[in-house]
Amino acid sequence: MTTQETETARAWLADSLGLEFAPEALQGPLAAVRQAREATAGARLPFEAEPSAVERLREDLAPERRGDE
Amino acid sequence: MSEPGLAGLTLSAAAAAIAAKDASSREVTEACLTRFARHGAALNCVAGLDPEAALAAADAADAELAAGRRRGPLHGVPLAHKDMFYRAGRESACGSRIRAGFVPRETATVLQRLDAAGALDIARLNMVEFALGTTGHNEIVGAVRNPWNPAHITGGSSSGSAAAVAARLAFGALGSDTGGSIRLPASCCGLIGLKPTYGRVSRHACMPLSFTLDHIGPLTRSVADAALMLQAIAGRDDQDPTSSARPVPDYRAALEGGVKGLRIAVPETFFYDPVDDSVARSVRASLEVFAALGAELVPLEMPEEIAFANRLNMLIIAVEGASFHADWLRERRDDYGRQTLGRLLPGLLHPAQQYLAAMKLRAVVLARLKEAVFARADLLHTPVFPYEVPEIEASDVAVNPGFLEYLAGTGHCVRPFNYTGLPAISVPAGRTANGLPTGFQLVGRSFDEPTLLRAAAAYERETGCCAPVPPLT
Repeated sequence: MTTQETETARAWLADSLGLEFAPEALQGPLAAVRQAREATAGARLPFEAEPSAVERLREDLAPERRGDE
Repeated sequence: MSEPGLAGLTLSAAAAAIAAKDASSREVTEACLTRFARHGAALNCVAGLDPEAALAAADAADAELAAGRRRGPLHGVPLAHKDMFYRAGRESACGSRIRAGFVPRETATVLQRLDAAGALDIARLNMVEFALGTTGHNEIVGAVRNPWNPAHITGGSSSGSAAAVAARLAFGALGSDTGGSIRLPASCCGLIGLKPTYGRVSRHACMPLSFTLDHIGPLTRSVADAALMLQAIAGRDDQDPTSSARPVPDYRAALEGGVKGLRIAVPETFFYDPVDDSVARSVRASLEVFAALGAELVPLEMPEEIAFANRLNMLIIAVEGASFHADWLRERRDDYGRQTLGRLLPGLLHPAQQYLAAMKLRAVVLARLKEAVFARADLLHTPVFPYEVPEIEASDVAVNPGFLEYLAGTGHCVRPFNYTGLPAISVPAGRTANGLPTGFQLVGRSFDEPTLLRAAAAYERETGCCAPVPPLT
């Protein structure tokens, strides 16, 4: 984690949320953010995707909606 | 080894014995209280226990039964639950320093429904601080210890629930599951752990962690017990707008169906990537049982997108969890344990776009699972906890930060089904080389808990998988 990244995060938390953290306390959280970013780097979302689609899909998958699967 | 006596019955058997007046509620409650007194402190699983109140409730249940009134199928059976299900007027500390002394004004819908079914609620059980952890460690109240070997973790976050049920202190317990927190401790302690479909069980007046991922379900010593508890708690609750109005089927009726002709998907990719050899051997051996019982095993490649599910589930927990904890993070930061704080702080730093991408990808992952798995099979079979159950000290990330990646791996097999909301059950699969339990997971279509229970019950009848009692001294 670069010093600049850490300072940006520290300033964001202090200015936006009123939370003061020492830079060393942010190393782990910033690593988690980086890992999540890397984990999704290859994900290609359809332009029209929206979160509530998961609820419709769950209904479609219920036993009585199996159709000819 | 101390004999559990009446406390060693299954929940179903205890309920039947009380109903038939072969045993009184007082007798089975006394048996449980004896176990609590003998093993509760050593296992560190008790957050609150009032023996006099428990016996008074048992006497009331016996008096009702004597008067010809049986409240429901759980009449007079003592249960105990994770310390995050609110009961009006009773403390609920959520495994934390911050909520110590918190006395809610409402009672959780799930507790109201268990009360209506006749169950007794005799103890509050320790848990991971605010349910944020997969191992059972807790810097505030201490780690819960595994009844199979107290030097080892129970799994988490429903750590006390698993220890208490496995050690025969209670006949069943509720847990919560946001990233495996019912299924992981069930696997580590040799129990059935059922995470129902998202929306199947109300979360009203339960401690929230991550509102789009939280699930409530039972940890029990038999599949029939899980069916009994789910029957009592499932169904629409107007106080939880995310609960489903879908009719609740008869779960106990599903138990006898067997698995002949059932198609069980066996993953050729992803799920076994981090799994220890001895765990994999036990899990794969359970497939041979299903095949011998007439199930059709269907080897399948998993959709590539499932690889996103573990990390993104953690991202969503962090963001939604941080939204609940924002005020305390500002005002009481030093009252959190280090691991809990380390899990919440990323939630303040993830860009909103990343959170929303994680939410959108849930539909993509579910659609791919539908095509790749549930168009070809009725159930998916996977490991649960990927490793041999480790020792408490070795796996404490508060003192061994290098263990963080290992802990992320603990959710590899379970978090995809919080992310997608599909129902999943953890079933004991024997013990690994270190003598601790392991388990396998069955995952079903949305709201198809009956098929999960049916397959798990067939396996249980064949193997007696839940019968072994931990060798407590």
